[in-house]
Amino acid sequence: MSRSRSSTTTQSRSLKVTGEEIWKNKTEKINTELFALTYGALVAQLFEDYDNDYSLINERLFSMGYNIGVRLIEDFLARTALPRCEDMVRTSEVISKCAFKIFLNITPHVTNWSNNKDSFSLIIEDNPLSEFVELPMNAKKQIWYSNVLCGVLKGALEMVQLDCDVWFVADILKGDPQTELKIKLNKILKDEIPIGDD
Amino acid sequence: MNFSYEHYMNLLFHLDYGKETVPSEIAKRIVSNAISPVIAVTSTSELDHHILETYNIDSLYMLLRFFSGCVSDRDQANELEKSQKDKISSNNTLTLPTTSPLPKVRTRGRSRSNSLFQRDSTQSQYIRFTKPLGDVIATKNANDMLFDYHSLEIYLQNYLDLIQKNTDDNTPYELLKKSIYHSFFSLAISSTTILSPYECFNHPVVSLIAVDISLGQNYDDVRDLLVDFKNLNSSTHNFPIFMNTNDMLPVVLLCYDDQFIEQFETCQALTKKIKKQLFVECISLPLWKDSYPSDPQVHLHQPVMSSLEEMIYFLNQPKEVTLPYELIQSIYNILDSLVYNLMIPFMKRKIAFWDETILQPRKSLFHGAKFLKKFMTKTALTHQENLLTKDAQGNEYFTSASSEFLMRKLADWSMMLSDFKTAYATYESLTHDLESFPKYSASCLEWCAVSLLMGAQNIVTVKMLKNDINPLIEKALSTYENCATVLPETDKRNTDELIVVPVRSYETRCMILASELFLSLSDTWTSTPYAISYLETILVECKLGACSQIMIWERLSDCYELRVDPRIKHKAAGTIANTSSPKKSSESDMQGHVMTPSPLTKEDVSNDANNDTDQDIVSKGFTRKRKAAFFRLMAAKKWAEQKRWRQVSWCLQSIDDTYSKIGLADRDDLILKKIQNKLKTAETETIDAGAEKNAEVSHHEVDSPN
Amino acid sequence: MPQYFAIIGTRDNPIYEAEFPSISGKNSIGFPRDLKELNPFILHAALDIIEDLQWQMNPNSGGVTTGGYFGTGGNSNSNSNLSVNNSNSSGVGFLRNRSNNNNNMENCYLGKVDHFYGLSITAYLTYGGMKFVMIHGTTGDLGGSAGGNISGDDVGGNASKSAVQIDDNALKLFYQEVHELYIKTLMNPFYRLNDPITTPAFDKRVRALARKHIVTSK
Repeated sequence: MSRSRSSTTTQSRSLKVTGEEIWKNKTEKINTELFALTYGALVAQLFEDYDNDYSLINERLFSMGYNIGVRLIEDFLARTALPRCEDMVRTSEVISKCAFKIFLNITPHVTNWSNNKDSFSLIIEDNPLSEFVELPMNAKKQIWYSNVLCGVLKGALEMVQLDCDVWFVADILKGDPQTELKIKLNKILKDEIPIGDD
Repeated sequence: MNFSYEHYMNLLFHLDYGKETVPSEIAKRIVSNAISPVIAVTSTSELDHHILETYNIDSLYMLLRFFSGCVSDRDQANELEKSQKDKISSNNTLTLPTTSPLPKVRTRGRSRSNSLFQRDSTQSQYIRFTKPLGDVIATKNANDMLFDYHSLEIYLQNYLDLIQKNTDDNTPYELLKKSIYHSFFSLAISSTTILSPYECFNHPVVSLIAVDISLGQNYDDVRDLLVDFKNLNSSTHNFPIFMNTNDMLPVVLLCYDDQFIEQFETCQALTKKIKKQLFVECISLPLWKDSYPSDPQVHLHQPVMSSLEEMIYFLNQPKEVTLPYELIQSIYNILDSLVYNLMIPFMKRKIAFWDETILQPRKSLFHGAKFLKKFMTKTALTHQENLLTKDAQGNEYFTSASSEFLMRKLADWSMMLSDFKTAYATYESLTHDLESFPKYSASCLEWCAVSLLMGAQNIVTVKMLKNDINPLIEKALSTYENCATVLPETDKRNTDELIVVPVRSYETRCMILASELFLSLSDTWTSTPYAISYLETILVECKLGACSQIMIWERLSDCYELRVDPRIKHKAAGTIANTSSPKKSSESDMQGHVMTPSPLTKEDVSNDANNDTDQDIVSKGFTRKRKAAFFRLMAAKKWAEQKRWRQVSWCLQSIDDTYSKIGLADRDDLILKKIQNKLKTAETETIDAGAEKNAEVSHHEVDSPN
Repeated sequence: MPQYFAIIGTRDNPIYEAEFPSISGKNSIGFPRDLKELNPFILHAALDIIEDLQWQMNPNSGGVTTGGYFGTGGNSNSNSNLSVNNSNSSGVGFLRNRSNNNNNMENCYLGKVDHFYGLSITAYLTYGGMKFVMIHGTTGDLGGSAGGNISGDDVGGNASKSAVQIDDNALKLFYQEVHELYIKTLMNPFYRLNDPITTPAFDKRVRALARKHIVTSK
């Protein structure tokens, strides 16, 4: 941490600007309700198809997200033309200020860093996926409604050589005070040639 | 065998007809019957005794009572088993002609077709029988009500007991319930023999004087009886001043034994003599004959209608009465000739005479000079007070000879003969003449509206209902009401009891009558709201027993059931076939739809309606089925309070579909489930407890009808 | 005046019900027991009339069928005591003018549509055909006496003397806000159309709205 604090802020400000710029000018928008309902319909369908087997549903959502993530990262990097991140702090900033901004128009708050800076939390306010959702009583304990996000992050990070665990630790839908998503770096994958790297 | 008017009105005793249909304008027939001409029957005690001996019927009057109703239907003869009928039809034709010395009335070709399904209801003539005039007058009381809600309630209670006994939960109930209501209705509009001073529907038109030729009664007996009758005016202490024996047609009935040719000859001779010397027509009835006992015996059904007290008596003492088939035919034959050859011509003569002597002079006098008329009537007002005459009790009435009362009679008789046009015109002009006599004018207003409703078939338009008929009834009601309130201020409490109640009974009758006639119109969408408002007013304002009230609640439900927009009637027919199939058939007839009133139509129709009656968007808002269900539920609740479990069960059956679909049926916190539970416990209880206890319960209820 | 509110689904099935007792001092006065048992049925019966109104709502169709009842009078707003309407008896007097000066949610409010023995029934129709309906009990102290017997002589039916005073504006606000709540509920992917709304949150919010807009305290 030899760099000055101010440089971090400028960097992150520029990330913020990049994110907003792209959101404003380069992103095709979709109506929030339609988006939320589409995702909602999908989840509700899973409920029906998997007969309320919640752990399985969580898994499904995750794997769907994973499949999205591995594709989305390509698009993301192409648009932003961001360079490789030097550390997880930088990664967290990119995720929060650029990725979430561009795709969901939100900027989750990054917090809860572990001491060795390999894991952090994203506090998501106004999760657009779950805008109208109220979970069925018996699903409340087990389901991670927005688990698709974890999958997306997992998939995307993996494609940039970051093997992470991504999971929800709290969700407003379950009665928690906030929605918190945890990302923990396991290891940096060396043996693969990065795709889309410059 | 055809389904007849009588079958419908007494459906309880003909349960095998439970799935038949009745025309929608059935109410008109009931009204026709209720206001049909009355024939007072006087007979010698010897004759009565002779009848009692041979046929086990108390008197000639009681015997004839079985033959009242629609004369041309000959429904008692229909009671005969078909097999028996075939057997006798061959020799019947031989014996019949000899039975009636008068020319036979067979010219009216269609008379034999059943009155229930005749296109033109005016083709049928109804008659009623009553006790000898002297007896009728003797029972008269100034405070008599037109109908007595208390006896009505008791009758209803008895009837309901009978239903409980004769039916079970699986009996087809739709038509039966309608029949129950209509028999209730018919009694509500004409349930007493009392003689109203304001109208003359109950005043006898014909006085039948009967003697027994077989016992040697002769010209002198006839003359004495006739003189007695003619002198009733002066000889009877309380003879009502608004009646006059001169306006009644005396007819002599000679009862003889057909076995003896000389008796028949005596009759013929006597007929000539009586006509020559007493100017009275005779009819001969072969009341006895040796072959009668071997003739097929017919079980007589109970009379369609007579006074309430007698109905109650009948219900309580069911008595098997049988008569030989041939005699029944003979009686119908003499009634035919009595009605068509004597009574109707007599009434027509009288009407023509009154028309000429009273109505026409008035018309011509004021013709084209309305102002003058107004002026004249105004000045006449001061004199009008004197037009009323005090009777022995101090009541003031128009006398039978006053032109006002004669006009009223003209109108009433026109009603009886189904000449609604004349009736309407006369009532109409009377309402103006009698403006200062509210009791008289109220009744005229009422019948003005009734004659319109009775006469108008399909030509009643929305506008007419709104601008003509309804205001008339409203006016009649408010006039009745005024009669009730305009009373001496002093000791009002006392007068309340004495006078208000009878007037109220007129008011109630007016409303129940109007509601039913509105329902008989073809455009039920526009007419039912009026019916509903009258019925609700009755519930709120009129004195009725508990069960009678529930009958009205049920009728409210029927009203809503009938409320279907004409544009979707053909569609709705399928869904309402259960409850109002009669309407369906008549309606589809009218619209020329290819539809036969058979169960098949139900399928046809629902196919028609896009296979989706539930979500049939076209009929949304054009029906009041849910209202109907709700009022049925209210009725069920009230029946349960009265412990009329059969009724409860039927009501619940009819609404089950509606409510179970939407989950209201099985919620423990709601009334429907509670009634169902009560019904269940009651049914298990009645199985446990015998019929004995049942009788006790119902007896107990009779005492507290309110 | 206690009130009973329900949302009726497109298949006539009640999906939400709530009773709002009126508050008098410290006591809250609900409906008497027999009315509680009856209320859902009373509302169900009113649906016929609501549907009638629903399908006449298109202003273009005005006057085609109803012969003079449609679009008479121009004061549908304001604090009107609607007891003049005789809808229960006639079904003709209830038509309310709603052809002009209405914006979006405005014309969802049908006002008083029906009544039954002193009870008034108001309705609000969503665009999806959900019916919001409410029974307004008799005013104030009648709570007790109206209880035992609604069957006859002591209560005025159509000519009811104690017709409830309805504050149309407040009621309309209530309905509109419940409508918004309902839309939110409907957007929940786990809620299916015509299912009963059982979530306590909805109930809580509706009751709060009721307190805010319509429950009278005397």
